[in-house]
Amino acid sequence: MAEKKMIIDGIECPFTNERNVLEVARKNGIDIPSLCYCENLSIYGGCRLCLVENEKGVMDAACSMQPRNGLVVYTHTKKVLDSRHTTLQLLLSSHRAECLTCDESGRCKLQEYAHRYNVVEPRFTENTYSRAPLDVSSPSITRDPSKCILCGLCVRMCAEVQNIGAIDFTKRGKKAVVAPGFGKTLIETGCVGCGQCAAVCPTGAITINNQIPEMWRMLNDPKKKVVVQFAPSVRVGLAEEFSMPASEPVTGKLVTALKRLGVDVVYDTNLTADLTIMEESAEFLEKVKNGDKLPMFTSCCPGWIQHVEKAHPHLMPQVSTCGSPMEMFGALIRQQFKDEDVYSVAIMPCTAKKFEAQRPELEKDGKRLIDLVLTTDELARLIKAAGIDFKNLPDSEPDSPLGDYTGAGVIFGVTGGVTEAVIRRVLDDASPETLKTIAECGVRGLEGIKAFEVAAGDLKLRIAVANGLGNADKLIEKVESGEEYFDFIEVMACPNGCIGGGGQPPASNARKAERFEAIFKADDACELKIPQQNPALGYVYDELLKGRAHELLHIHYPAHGHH
Amino acid sequence: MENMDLRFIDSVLEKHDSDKSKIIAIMQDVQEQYRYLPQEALEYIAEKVGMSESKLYGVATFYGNFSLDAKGKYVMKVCRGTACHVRKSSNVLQALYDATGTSEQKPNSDDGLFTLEIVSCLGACGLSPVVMVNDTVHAAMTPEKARALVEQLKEEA
Repeated sequence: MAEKKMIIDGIECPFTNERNVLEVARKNGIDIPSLCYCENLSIYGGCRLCLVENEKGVMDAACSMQPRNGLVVYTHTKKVLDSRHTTLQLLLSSHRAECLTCDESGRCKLQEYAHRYNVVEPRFTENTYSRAPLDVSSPSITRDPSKCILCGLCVRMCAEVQNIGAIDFTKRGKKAVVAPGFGKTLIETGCVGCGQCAAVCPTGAITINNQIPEMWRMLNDPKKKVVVQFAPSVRVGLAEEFSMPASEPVTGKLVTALKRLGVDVVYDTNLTADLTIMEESAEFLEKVKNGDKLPMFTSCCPGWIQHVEKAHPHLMPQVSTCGSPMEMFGALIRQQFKDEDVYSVAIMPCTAKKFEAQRPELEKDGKRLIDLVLTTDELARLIKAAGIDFKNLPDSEPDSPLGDYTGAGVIFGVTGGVTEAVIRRVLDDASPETLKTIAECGVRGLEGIKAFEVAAGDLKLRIAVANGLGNADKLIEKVESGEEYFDFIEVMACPNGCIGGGGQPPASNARKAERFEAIFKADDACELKIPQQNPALGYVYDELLKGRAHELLHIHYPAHGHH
Repeated sequence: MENMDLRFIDSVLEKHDSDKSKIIAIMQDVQEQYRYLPQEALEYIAEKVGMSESKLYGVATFYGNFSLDAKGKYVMKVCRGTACHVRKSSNVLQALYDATGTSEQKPNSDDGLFTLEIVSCLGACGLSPVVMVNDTVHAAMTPEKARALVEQLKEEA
């Protein structure tokens, strides 16, 4: 079949199965503006910024236009430019533009387009932005209707990808507001704080709760020993904030940057990812041996935990009681620096971790395990504020004795990583052949749902991996209807796993694929591949936990019930 | 609306097969019974038809004919369309506000008897100014007739 081509601005643009003209244009290097379109969500066609003109002078939205062979469109005729200008003027007339002090400033798409399309003077001076109240109920995100442009991306993300529907369009016309039903606040809905709505929000209408000032205060307090841990996927999200490629991990520079910020001790959460695998594999094998109800679900993801609590509480007893790697490291830090005035900080790709850290269960021996959670994004801002030239930093190693980790810990950052690590642990063989077999068993890849079988000795294990809560719900439905059986199910609330977390710099699918690649480069760079090889584990179990491993590393949430 | 009788809601849901594509018909039936859409009923319906609360609330608040606020026993629709306006419906409206103790900002009377709504046209311009009380049309209204009507309804209640 001959190659299909359409003509955009006089340029021949080949296309295959792109879903609309907008994608064809972008793939061919022509950036048509849009505020309500996302490649992973259904098409809305509401913002009217992507209007293009055809040969007859008719305008239509490129996001809702099917590409066809020989189609001719123009993206910057006078008519198109005038229309864009008016649309932006209208959007600005109902947007509280406090740009200088807005958290989204510098990455707001409305701001960017207003500048790009030369909206230099507001045409409609009476601003009709929504006076609906600010929603600060969530520890993870803040909703500010006064900055909402009603593009509906958050609504579709929450309903289509996460299957939650915490917010939707309510009321009508100029009173329309994206909000939970019945005037409720986010915390009263099924919201799990995953932050995916904030990641797609083109303006500052949904932002991640910013705790940067808190961190500066502690860094500048000479009495405080600031101990920081950073999660696997932080090393693959941070680079983009400093114009570096997403496909290379920046672990060494990250450690140096934290030290230069004034952090006293830097640890890599990878160690407790290894530890999680030790505990979780043991728990799993125990359940298999005892004939307990399976599948066992993973427990590292706080968004997933909240989703189980809110939407499937009856499944909670099947969720592993292992604390998340963040929680486990928090517990180790408290043991390591028992009598010191430690401020325990976790840098996470995640907004739901801000909630997790506040949970009453994350307190042991009368102390909070984690004092503060900052996202990858907040860390990037700290580094910039400190004037650090990140790109040219030398590499450093995390501090000892809790600085060791294996490749099994690093891969926690992607969907399937926890499962692959569990399989590495259970097969207990670090030979390249076995590792290759594991890598090719079906566990790797960015698909929303993966299901496969692994033989471990005489055990045949049916395993499934889901990312995105909508996919998790689909899987649960199949399990509950008896259509499928699984022994083990990994769930990460965010699409693609933590590399696509709500606390990471927002990224396209292509960018996330690069992060995926980077995670496995970090795995490749580790000499040790299976968690039981981690040399620090002996110290952790014998010197720090001293027989209290279960008490300190496991979390029993109320819905877990009695064990 | 504490402990509302969900059996009625169940019967409505059953009538419409708990089908979310019939959500408007479901809400109309509920509103006919209660004269408004109680939150508890909507939350229950959302769960039963498998729709998010926010989506259902979005549909309910989109249409002007659905009300989420409890209404009085007598819903008075005062026509403010062109024909009624020319024949001084504003005076009729003011008389009704005064007689029932309501206002544009506070459409429900304290005694729970009256709800005042402004509508754009009732399609009965020849009878203007028109006020509709529940299903009854009152034609050629004057402020005096409006006050008398309120008195009469209070006695009947």
